Amino acid sequence: MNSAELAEFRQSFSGKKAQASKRWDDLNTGSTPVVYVGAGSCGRAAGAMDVIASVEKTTERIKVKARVLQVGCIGPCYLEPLMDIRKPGLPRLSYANVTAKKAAEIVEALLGRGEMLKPVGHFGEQAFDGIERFFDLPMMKPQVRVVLRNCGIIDPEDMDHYLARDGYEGFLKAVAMQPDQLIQEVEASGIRGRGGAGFPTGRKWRTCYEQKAEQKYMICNADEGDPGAFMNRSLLEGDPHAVLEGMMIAAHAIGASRGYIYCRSEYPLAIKRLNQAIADARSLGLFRCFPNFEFEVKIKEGAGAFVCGEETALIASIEGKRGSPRPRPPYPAVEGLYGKPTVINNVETLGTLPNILRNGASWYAGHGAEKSKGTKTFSLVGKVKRTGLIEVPLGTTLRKVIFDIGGGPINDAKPFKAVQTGGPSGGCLPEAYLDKPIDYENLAAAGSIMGSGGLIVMDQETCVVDIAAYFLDFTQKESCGKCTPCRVGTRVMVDILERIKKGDADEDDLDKLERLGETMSKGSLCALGKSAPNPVKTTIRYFRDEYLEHIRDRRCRSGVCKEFITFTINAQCTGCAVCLRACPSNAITGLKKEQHVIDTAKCIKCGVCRSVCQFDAVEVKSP
Amino acid sequence: MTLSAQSVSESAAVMVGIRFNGNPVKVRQGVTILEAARQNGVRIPALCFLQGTEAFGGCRICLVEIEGRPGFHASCVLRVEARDEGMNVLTDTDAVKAIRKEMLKLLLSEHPSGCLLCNEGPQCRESMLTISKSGHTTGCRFCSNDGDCELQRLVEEFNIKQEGGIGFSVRYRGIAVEREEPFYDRDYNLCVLCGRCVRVCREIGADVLSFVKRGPNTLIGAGMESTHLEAGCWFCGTCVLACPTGALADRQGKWDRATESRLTTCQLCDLGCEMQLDLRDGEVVRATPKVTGRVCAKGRFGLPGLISGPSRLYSPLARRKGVYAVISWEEAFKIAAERISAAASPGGGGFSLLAAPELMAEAKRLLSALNATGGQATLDTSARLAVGGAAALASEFKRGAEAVSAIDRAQVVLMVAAEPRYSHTPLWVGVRRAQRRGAKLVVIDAKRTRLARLADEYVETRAGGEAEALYAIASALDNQGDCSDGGQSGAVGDALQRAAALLSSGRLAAIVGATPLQYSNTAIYVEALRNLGKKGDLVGYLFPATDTAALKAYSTGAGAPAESGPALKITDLICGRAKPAVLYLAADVPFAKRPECGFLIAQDSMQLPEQLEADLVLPATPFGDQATNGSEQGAKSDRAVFAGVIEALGKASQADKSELIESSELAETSEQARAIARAAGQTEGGGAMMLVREISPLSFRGFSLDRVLVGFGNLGLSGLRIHPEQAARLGLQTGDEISLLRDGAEIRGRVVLDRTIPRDAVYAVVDPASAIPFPFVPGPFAANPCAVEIKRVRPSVNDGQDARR
Repeated sequence: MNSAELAEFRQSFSGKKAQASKRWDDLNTGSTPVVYVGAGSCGRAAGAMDVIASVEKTTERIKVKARVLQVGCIGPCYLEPLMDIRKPGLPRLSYANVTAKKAAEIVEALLGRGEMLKPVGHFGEQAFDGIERFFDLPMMKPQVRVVLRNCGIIDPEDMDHYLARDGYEGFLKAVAMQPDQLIQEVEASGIRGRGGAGFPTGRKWRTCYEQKAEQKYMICNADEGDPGAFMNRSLLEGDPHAVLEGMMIAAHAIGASRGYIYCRSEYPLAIKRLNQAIADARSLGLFRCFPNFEFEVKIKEGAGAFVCGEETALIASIEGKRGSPRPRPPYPAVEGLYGKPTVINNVETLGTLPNILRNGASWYAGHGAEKSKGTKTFSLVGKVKRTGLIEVPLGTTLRKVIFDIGGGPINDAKPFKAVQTGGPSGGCLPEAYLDKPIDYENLAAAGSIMGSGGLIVMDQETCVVDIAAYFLDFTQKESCGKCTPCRVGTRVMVDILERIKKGDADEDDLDKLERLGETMSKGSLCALGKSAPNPVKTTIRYFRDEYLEHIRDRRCRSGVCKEFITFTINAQCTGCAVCLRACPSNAITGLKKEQHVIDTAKCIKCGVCRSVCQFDAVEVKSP
Repeated sequence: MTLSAQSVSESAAVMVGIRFNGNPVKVRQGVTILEAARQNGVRIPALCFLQGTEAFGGCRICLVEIEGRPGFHASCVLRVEARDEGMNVLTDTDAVKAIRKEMLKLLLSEHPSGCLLCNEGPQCRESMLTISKSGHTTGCRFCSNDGDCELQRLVEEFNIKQEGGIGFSVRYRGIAVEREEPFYDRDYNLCVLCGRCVRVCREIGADVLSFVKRGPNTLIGAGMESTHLEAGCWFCGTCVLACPTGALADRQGKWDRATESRLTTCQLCDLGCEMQLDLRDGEVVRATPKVTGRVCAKGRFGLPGLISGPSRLYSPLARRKGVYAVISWEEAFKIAAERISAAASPGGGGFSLLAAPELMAEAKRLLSALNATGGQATLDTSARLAVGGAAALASEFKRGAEAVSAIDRAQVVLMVAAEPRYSHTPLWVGVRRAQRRGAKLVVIDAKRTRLARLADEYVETRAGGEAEALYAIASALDNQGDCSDGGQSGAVGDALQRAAALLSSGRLAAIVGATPLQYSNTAIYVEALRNLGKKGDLVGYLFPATDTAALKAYSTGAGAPAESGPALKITDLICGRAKPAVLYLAADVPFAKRPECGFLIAQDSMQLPEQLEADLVLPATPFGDQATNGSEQGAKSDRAVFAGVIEALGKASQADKSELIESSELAETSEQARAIARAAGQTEGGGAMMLVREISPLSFRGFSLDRVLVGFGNLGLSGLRIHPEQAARLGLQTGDEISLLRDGAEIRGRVVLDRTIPRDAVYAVVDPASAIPFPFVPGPFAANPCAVEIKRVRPSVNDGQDARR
C-alpha cells in the first residue's frame, strides 16, 4: 500500500466513522423509541427472545414505531432478562426480570399511554424522577468498566455502533507505531495475561517479535471451559470487534499475518458474531489498511475439551491433532502453531488492548494494584444475592466484590464460608482472605490462582470435601491422559475423597492427599495437572477440621455427605403431604394436617422432600 | 531417524559444558538431558522414552532437578541450549528419587502388578524354561510373561517391593482382551499409556494408532472403535515390539519360552531384511527384525509358520489309488526320473516344467540334463503373468540396499499403487525419513489407502486408472506440457498438474506397484515408467518372492528367443490347451485344482491344495530352514531336489538320444496376452462394476501365505473386496457369497468390506486356490479391469470365521 492509498483509506475510514456517529446519535437522540433487549446467550436462556417477540407484537398492536435492538449482556445475571427503553424526551430506562407479559405491559404503558412503570434504573447523566441511575445500583457502582464498556450498550452485530464509540481508533494508533514502540507501550501499561497465569503480555510479545520467521501467528484463546465462567463469552457476544481489534494490534506488534480464534463450539452465538465482525472489518479494508500490515483471521471451533485452553494443546487442536499439551520449552512464542512463532492471548487481554492504545499506557496503569495493573472481569456466581459479570480494578478486596457488589450470601441465615477463585483449578479461600486485595501474587500465596476470573461463592451449606471432590472429578474427566500424575493422580485423589465422604478413610489418607497434591503440582506436564490439586490442597489447608470431622466423627457439618446425614421432619410441618407425594422411595408417612415422619431405613437421602417443603420443616442432621 | 535427531546432528558442532550431579561433562547443544546422561554413563530411568522416536514427556519417570530452577524437569524432552552452560543437573537427589517413585506407584496402581510384587517372583523366573512359561502353567495370565517387562525392571530399581507396595487404591480397567487382530492380542488392562506404539506407528508405520478418549478412560486405539485391520494397519508389528509391558503381545509363541535365537535374512522379497529367529526345541516361535521397522507382516508373522509350522512338508509322498504314501527320497527320484524321461522322449506325450523365478538356474540344469539324453521339454513360469511388461525394465529397478538409498537421496518420492501393506513395508521407513527432511510424497492410486492421507499430493484415479494417470504426468514431465487432461484415468486435472509440478521439483525416486502391470493397458505403464526412470530411480515394489534379478531371467536368462520352437505357454496350461504327459511344478502352482496332465509332480515346502491331486510330492525347504532342525526331518533344499532328479535321470535314460528342443520363451513379453485382453474388451458383456485383479502380496513359492499360515487368512485378501457404501447399496454384507458374471462365465467369492476400494469397483487378489483367474489368460476374464455384474448367491453364514475388514 502506498501513501496515496493510505490517504484514501484514512479518508474513507473517517467518512465511515462520521456516518456511523450520525447513526449512533440518531439512535440515542432520534425521535424513534428504541427497545434494547439483553440477548446474549444468558439473556436468551432467561427468555429474552420471548421478550423481543412480545415487544414486537405489542408495538404492532398499539401501532407505535419502535426499534428493537439486541444488545449484549451488561452483567447482572440476577436481573435477567433485562429490557431497556428509550423514549424521546426520557433517559434510557432499564427493566429487570422481564417476562413476555411484563414486557408487553411496560411497552404498552410507556409507548402507548405515556405512563412509566417503575424501572430498576436509568442511563441518564442526572437524577431522574427518584429513579436510581443504573450504574449507581449497588452491583454496578463499585465497578470500573473498561473492557466491558460496550457490552449491553451497543448492537454487537452493527459495526457502526462500535465505530461510533471510537472503535478501531486504538488499532489505527497502534499500526502507525513501530512494533517495538507498540510493545513498549503495552509493557508500560503493565497488563498481564487475563487467561489465568498472568504472564506479562508485553514480554510475551517481545519474545515472539524477536524471532526471525517468515510466518508468525496470532491466536485468540476463546476456549473458556471453567464451570461457572462466562466472562469471555459475554465479551465475544457483546463486543466482538473489541477482541478482533485487539488481535490486530497484537498481530502488528509481533508481525503476524494470520490469526486464529480458537472458540469452543458451545458458543454458537459468539462464533456467529465473530464471523460477522471479521467480515465487516475485512470489507472496511482494515485487514489491508497500512503499509506492512496484512492480516487474515479464521475461527477454529473447539470440540469441547477443557485441556484445549492450555496453549500447546490448543495449538495441537488447530493443527488437527489430538488436543494434548506438549512440554515447554520451546514456548509457543518461539515454536508455536505449525512450528512458527505464535502468540496466544486470552479474549479479555485482547479486548482490553484497544482501550490501552486509545487512552494510553499510563491511564491503564493508573488502575489496579502495584504488580497487577488494570481491571479484571469476574463471573460472580454461587450463593450470593447478586450474581453476574463484573469488572473491577485489580487490588479490590474479595469482601468488596462478594458483599458490596454481590450483596453477600443469598440466605442471611447461612453465612459465607468460602470462595473458589480461578475455576476448577483454583483454590478455595476462607473468610480470613476476604480482606486481601485480589491480585496475582496474593492469590498464588493463598494457594489459589486468578484463573480466567471465576468466583464461586459458598455458604455454610457447602461441604468442602464434597466441593473438592466435585472439582477433582471435573479435572479427572478433562485430563488429556498424557502424563501419569494428572491422569492417575486425579483418579486416586477422587477415590480418596469419595472414601472420606463415605467415612471409609483414615487420617493417613489426608497425608496421602497432600503428598499426592505436591507430586501432581511439581510433576505434571501442563498447567492443568499442576493446578488440579489446588481445590484439595486449599480445602485441607483452610478446612482441615472439616476433613477430620468426616474421618473421625463421621460427621458432615454442612449436611451434604449422604453417609453422615439423616433427614427428619420437625414441628413446622403442616401435614400438606407434598413431600410425601414427592418422595421417590415412599419413606414418608403421615396423616393429613399432621406432622409427617421419615422412615430413615427407607430414606435414600435424595433431598427432594427438603426442596419441595414450603415450611422449612425438613431438617438435615449430622451427628 | 526423527526430526529431533536431525536437528541434533545439524548442531553437532556446538558443545556445551554442563554438570551431572556436579561432575562436568561436555555435550552437544540440542541433545536432551536424558541423551546427554546416557552418553556420559549417568543413569536416569525412563519409560515412555523410545530411542529414535519423538520425545513424549508423558510418564514422568525421567524427572530430574536442575540447580537453581524450581520444580522438576522431564529429562527426555528438555534440551541443552547454549545458554545452559554450567547447568547442574541433579539426577539422584532424595526429592527426585521420591517423585519418580510416586510416578511409578501411580502407574502400578492401574497396571495389574501382582506379578511385579509377587513373593514367588524369583522362582517364577527360574521356571521360565519349562514347557511353556511359568505364568501360563500357574494360571497367572495377566501378561505374556516374556520376561521383557520394563515396569518390572523399574520396580526392582526403585525397590517398590521393599517399600511395602503401591500405597494407592488400585484400579483394574476390566476391558475385554481384544483378539480381533490377525497376529497379536491387545490387552489394554496392562497398558501404561506410554504412547510408544502411537509414536512408532506414526513415524514408521501406517499411522493408524492414536490416543482415544480422555481422563481415566484414556486408551490407545485405532479410533472409531475400529480394529487395526479395519483401520488399514500394515501389521509390521513394530508396536508390539515397542510396548514396554504385555499390553501388546504376539499371539503365536505368547506362552512359548524361546531358548535361543539366530539371525537370518528374510527372502520373502528382494529387500532382504535381517531377522532374528527365536527358537525353542529347534522350532521357530517368533521372528523379529534386527533393525527397528525393517520388517513387514510376512516376515514378522509369517516366518515362524513358514519354517516350523504344521503345514510344512517333510517327506516325499506318492499318490496311489487316491491315497498318499510316504516314500523314500530314492524312490521318489526314481519315479520322477522314469516319468520325466518317458514323457520327454519323442512321442512320449511331452514334459513341461513350471518353476518359480528364483529356481530358474536349477530348472535349466534339469533341461540340460534332459538335453543330454535327447529329451524334449518346455519350461515356463507363472511369474511371467505377474510381471507383465516389467521384464523390459528389469535392469532399471533398484533393489535391496540400493532401493533404500535411492529413497534417501530423493527430494520427491512417487508411489504408484504401492501401498506397502503386508509386504515391502520397510520402504516406507525410508519414505517417512525422506518426508521428515522435507521431501515430498506423491501417491497415485485408485485405492484410497493410508497413503492418501500421508501424501503431499494424492492423485485418486478411477479403478484401474493408475497407468493412465502416470502416463499423463510422465508425458507432461517430458515436454513440460500440460497434463490437466488425464485421459481415461479419472483423476482430477488439478491434482495431476500439482503432482507433475512436485515430481519435477527435485530428484525422484519412484516406488512402482505391481497392480498396473496386470492391467490391459500395461504398455503405457511401462512406457511411463521408462520415462520416469530417466529422471530418477525406480524402486520395484512388484510382487513378493520375485526379485529384480529374477525379472532379468525373463529378458535375458533363458537364451532362446520367443519366436523359436513349439511354445508351451503358461496360459495354455492354465486354460487346458496344453496337456503334457508329465507336469513338474517347482514351487510354482498357479492352479486351484489338478491341471490336465498325465502325471503331476509338485515340489514345494508347504501342503498343497487337496484338489491338485499331485501324483508325486517332493518336499523342499523354505529359506531359513537351515537355521532350524527342519531339514533333518526329510525336506531337501530345491537345489538338492533338482540334483537328485537329474542324477536319477542320467541312470534312467541312457538309451534314448533324441534331440532336445529347448522351447522356453522367457523373453516373451506379455504382448500376446495383452492382445488377448484387448480383444476381450473391457466393458463388453459386463455390468456396472469393474473387477480389478491384483497380485497377492502374500504369494511365495507357489502358495499364498494366507492359505497355510495362521492369521493371514484373517486379512481378507482371499475375498472379493467392496467399499462398504457400495455393498450397502447392493444389499451385501461381509461374508455373503457373490458371483461376478461376465459373458456367461462367473467368479465366486465372499464379500469383504474394504474402505479403500473405489465405489464402483470390486477388487480381488489373483489366487489359483480361490479360483480368481489370472488376467491375460484367454477367456471372458482376460481383460483387467473388466466390467462385471454382481449377483448374490448366498447370504453370509456367520460361522465366526469371517474376516473382518
